[in-house]
Amino acid sequence: MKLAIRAPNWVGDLVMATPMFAAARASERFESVTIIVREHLAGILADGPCADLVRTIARDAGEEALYRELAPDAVMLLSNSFGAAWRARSAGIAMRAGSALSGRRFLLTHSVIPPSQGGRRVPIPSAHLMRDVAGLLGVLVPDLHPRLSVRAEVVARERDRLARLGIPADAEYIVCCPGAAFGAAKLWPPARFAQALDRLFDARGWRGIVTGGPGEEALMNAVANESKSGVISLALEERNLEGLKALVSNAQLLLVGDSGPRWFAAAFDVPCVSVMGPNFPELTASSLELAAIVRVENLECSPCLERRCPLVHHRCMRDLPVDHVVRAAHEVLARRPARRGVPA
Amino acid sequence: MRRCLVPPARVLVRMPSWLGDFVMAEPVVRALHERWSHANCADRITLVGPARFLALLSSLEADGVRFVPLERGATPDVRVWRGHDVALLLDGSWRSAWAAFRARIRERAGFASGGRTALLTQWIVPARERGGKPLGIGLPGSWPRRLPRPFTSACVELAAACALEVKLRSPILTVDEAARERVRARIGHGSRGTVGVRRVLVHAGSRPDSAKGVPAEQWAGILRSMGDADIVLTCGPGEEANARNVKALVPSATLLDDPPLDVAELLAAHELADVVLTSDSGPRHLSQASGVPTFVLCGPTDPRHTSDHDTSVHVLRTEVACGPCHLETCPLAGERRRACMTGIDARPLMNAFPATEAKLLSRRISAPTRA
Repeated sequence: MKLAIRAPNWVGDLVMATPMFAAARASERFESVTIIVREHLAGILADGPCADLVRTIARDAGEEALYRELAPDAVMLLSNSFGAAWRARSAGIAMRAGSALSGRRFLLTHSVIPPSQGGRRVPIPSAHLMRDVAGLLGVLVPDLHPRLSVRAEVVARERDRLARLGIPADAEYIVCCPGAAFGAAKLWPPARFAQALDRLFDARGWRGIVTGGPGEEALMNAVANESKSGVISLALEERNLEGLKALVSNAQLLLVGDSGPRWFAAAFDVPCVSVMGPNFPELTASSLELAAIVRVENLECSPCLERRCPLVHHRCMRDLPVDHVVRAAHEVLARRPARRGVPA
Repeated sequence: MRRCLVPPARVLVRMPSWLGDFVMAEPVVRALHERWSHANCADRITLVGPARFLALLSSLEADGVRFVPLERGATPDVRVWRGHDVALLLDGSWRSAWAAFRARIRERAGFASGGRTALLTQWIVPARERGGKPLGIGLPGSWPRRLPRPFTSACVELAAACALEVKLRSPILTVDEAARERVRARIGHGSRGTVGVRRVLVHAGSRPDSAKGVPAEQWAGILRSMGDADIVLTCGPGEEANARNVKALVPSATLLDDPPLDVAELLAAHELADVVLTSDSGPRHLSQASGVPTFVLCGPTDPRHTSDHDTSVHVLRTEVACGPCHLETCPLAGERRRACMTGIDARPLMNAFPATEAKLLSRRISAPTRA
């Protein structure tokens, strides 16, 4: 039996899906497994145990063509979009398993209806939902902790670059990703990121490195410019997801908004503080061993899940003080002995 | 859902009545305890659960958490339940929801099952599956086709919906020193410590004709192939007959049936074992807490119910057209009778057996110390 897995299109969800990929590969049920990933995200799975299973697509149109070429017997839809289910059906795949979200239940042959209350979906961790979908195809996932890999040469290349920018090869550092592809509502003010990095530098002596995705250069520079501890911005440097893996895997701490890189930290067992605004914390409540989610509690308007604050005040982010973030960082760093594979 | 699990609320937690579910719910209780301890109000937590299982959480009692033991089949004492702000009902019984309602607990959160939604203020309708039969499953579930999911996940989701974040999902149970000594006295040192000889703990008990139980002949076949392993057979109350049959077929094994080990002793026995073999019953979940390499022979139950087991747990099963039926006894006759159990190929177990040595070593190096 041939299996195709349609991977999620969000960075964080793709990292969260890695246990499902590994379990599918280990399953004796399938003679072949192919993971279909958007081209720009392929670097996330590079060097990992399932890298050789990856086929990339540049556009949605390519997805259906790839299905026809692969002719899988079953598809595991870890992307919750309507289009993904539509294209799988159009390609004539006999068995289509996915979550019954986005009004696509009629397109699926096997579906999961998530937990609900009063007819409304209860937010649950995305990893749980993907695990449940995998179970429809007989793929049992014993451990939901994500895992990523990175080549030694990529790590060395990043260290060389840091050395060139003033961080010696043996120096410890903090990675900061202040951006969020989702929208402005998820952004914590750059000045606060800078203050948090300064306070952590004072306490630990770790310099901050700010990085981010395409289009986030201004934000990255703003954090670096506001800081007083020599935070380095990679805005003018070449950046990609493989490089980010290398950076995060060697960091002492990741300071991040509610965005995909948070899951890089989980995958490499790096302590992480995630500043969360308009989102449901329950949606990402997995692999929290070394993560702290900091948010403003008891706001009537939160979580709104909007890309821009509809009330303009943006209190879910503006009311979040630097103190809380720094305290969470120290707390999560204190938990470090519990890191996997590291004796207490 | 309302975010009601916030200290210093007075919280009553109704723990599940089955051993496996009880253990799988432990991470939620621990997260609750940690958060309330942080706010210096751990004494505002009450745990209601089977008396025989609460001993597994005794470290919490020492920290001020109040325990209310519940005898099997007993009606909850509403007077004891009064005075709480939140009832977190991790069981599925109607009676506990009714007790929380009668005790006038303001927030009553639980799973929407057993027709108790009207008694709860916050509930989660469990996930469901639709469409064709899942691969590897012979029988689809009956209406409303609740999705078989790990109970830990369901508990974590309920807790999260009420604002309690669960960071660590592996259960941590308290090994009682007195229980440990009692077990040591009963099984002696055996061959433990002898190079190349492992102690294999086998939960060989099962109720007469239980579909979940492993037949004595099947156990014997597996155990005979283990060479000079130091085999210890255990069983629960009412499950002695099958364990005795195994002992008759494997006379070198040590049988602990008179009396059977209690739950605290069972956990201690896990700690003293190198490998555990078990059917898909409550004791398998103790393995996750102890970290001991474990092989589970899974018969008529859906493996998705327990799929989030630790990587030290290996599930062996065979796919049959009539399963998973979740029936107490197999209704079939002839060759198909108990085929879900007798058809299990135990060779992976045999092949993996030597490899457990390496895992064992790493476990002893990295396992967290438990009081």
